[in-house]
Amino acid sequence: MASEKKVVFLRSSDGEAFEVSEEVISAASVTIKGMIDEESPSRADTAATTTLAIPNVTAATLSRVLHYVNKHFDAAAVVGRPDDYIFCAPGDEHPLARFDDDFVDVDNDTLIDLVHAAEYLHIKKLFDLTCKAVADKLKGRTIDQIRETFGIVNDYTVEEEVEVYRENSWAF
Amino acid sequence: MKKNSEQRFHGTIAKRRTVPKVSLSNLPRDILSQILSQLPINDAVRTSVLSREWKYVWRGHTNLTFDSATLRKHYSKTSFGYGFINDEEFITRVDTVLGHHSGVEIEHMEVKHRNWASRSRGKISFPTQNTGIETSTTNQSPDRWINFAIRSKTKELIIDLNGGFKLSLSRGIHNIREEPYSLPSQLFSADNVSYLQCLELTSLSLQLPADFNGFLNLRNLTLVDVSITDKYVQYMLTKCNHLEFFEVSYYRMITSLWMPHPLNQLKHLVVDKCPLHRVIEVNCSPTILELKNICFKFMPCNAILDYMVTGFPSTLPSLNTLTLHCAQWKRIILPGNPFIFTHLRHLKLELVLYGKKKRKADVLDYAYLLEVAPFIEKLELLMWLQCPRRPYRKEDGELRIRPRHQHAHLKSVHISGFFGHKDQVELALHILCSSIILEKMEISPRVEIGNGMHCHRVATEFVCKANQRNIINAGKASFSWGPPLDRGYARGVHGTSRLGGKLSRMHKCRRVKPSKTRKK
Repeated sequence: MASEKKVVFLRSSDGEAFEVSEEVISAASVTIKGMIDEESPSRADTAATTTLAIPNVTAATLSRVLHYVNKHFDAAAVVGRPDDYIFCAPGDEHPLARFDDDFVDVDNDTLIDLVHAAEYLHIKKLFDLTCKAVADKLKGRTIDQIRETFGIVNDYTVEEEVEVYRENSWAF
Repeated sequence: MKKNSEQRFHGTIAKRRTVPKVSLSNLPRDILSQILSQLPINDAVRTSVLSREWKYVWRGHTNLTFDSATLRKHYSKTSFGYGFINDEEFITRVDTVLGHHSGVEIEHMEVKHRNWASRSRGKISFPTQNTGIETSTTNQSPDRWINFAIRSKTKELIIDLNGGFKLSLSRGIHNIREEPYSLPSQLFSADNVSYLQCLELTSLSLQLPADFNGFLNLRNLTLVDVSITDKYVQYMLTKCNHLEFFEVSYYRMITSLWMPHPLNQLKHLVVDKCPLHRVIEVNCSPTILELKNICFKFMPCNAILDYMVTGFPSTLPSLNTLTLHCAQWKRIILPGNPFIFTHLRHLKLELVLYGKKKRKADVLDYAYLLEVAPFIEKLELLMWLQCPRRPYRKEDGELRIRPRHQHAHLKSVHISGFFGHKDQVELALHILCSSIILEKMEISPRVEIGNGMHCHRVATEFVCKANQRNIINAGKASFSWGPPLDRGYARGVHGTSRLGGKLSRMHKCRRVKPSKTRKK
């Protein structure tokens, strides 16, 4: 009986529920751990599993996040690879590096949804990863390219824009 | 079921079109700042012209690195590197950035700049921002930067006034140079100093205020080419109780390193290239000592073997890994009653004998190491013997044999810089014959301290011949210009600092193993 894992259900903003191991999601997300801790006194006597509402995250994003979480935080899946162990043997790439690369190789909107979800759920590793991915998309682009890629509207007046250029003239 | 999931995806896509989507600009500003923190500061500053909202986003950048790469305008890297930024440009740019920055919670701040113009005049001084006249010492730019860092609760602070250039031993240390830039002592008396976790200072002079309260949370302290008296170092160490990693190198004034107060959490200690350094006294009570990894590097005047067996701090019970770098010209008389390293498992010794003088030191003397460290499992002996002596031939006389000493723990031996000098051959043979459970012995002519030359033949001819259990691995020559590896190692193991990661990755790349030929 003890081997049976506790699970929780996460309900996305559009009403879809996802099952995830309580242990894994608590290790990953500070936000959800807090929710579970809050729930637990009332839950102790009932056998029912908890369903937590995640109002800010859509099903499509949540399923991606859980995919990441299961890869990175499931102790059974990542045996013996502590992440803070920087010193690896030569040529030893982090085993999940490739997974991470593929994970963030998505279109901009999906990526930004992921940033948002990671921030909301307090999953620091995912947040750092997705921020880095967005930053890489900004890197080396001209201002016009960035505006176009991310749909940023230039709302400066001409005078203001000149002023901003002047202020940081060293960087241009 | 399949249809269901398809429907679901259709549903979300359809919804996406109706619901206002989260676009980059809709993210909260602090998230955007986090994203920009992943970019170098010049790229981040450039985003200020995107729109009104974006004007302020970069000001929450938490990872400020100022050097000639991040303060340039263009991406193009010429054959001269990132191009030269003159002092005035550098200072104004840093000041502009810091002036606009919101100043909240900086994770990492790094300034690497060498003030060329004033160095050539002999005295380091930074022009003051407004007046151009040095009226008050606290108004100089490095002070302002450090002040900013401390006010902003910076966790990692790196100030390198040598501009990240490699320090030169021959010119830098022995000759009297221009006076280093002196940090005013009151900088470190502020309360916010307790946010510092990692402090790295290069090429400046430091004094501590009288009311110095210590860096309460400092874990990592690195002083490179810092002019600071022995007294202040001790004072600093007594006040930093959480120190885990401590490094001093290119330290021109230090003569002794005393740790008067037990540093309970110190794990790594690196002393590198300190010409006047004589004594290291680490005072730690045996029960709480965590110090496991020590790396000492000496300048040519120290007799290493002598130091190891007599002058070494004997209060280091759990010392597990030891790296020593030394040069030794004279042959020393070995003491009869040496200190025994009971916990030492890994010993790395770098021996540099470089020059035109005739070498008197005898490599075979290092066989003594097996006696003073009876429990070592791994021995690395990196040699660089650049002196006129030819590889051993039979005409040179019989090989000497030291009395056998049974060593029951040594499993792995790595000897590099094996040029086939007679005493090297003798030493290799001695280790081979003494170690009962030896599993692997690598002999390589590759100089892993500096450059190398070809002597593969001697290794195979004279050592491999005596090898009956097929455990010798003699490598062929290749060149290696990398720095000694242990600094990266120690930092990498330490692991809390960002720098540690970088260095250990560099180290990883450089540590290419030479091609090996297994001889029967």
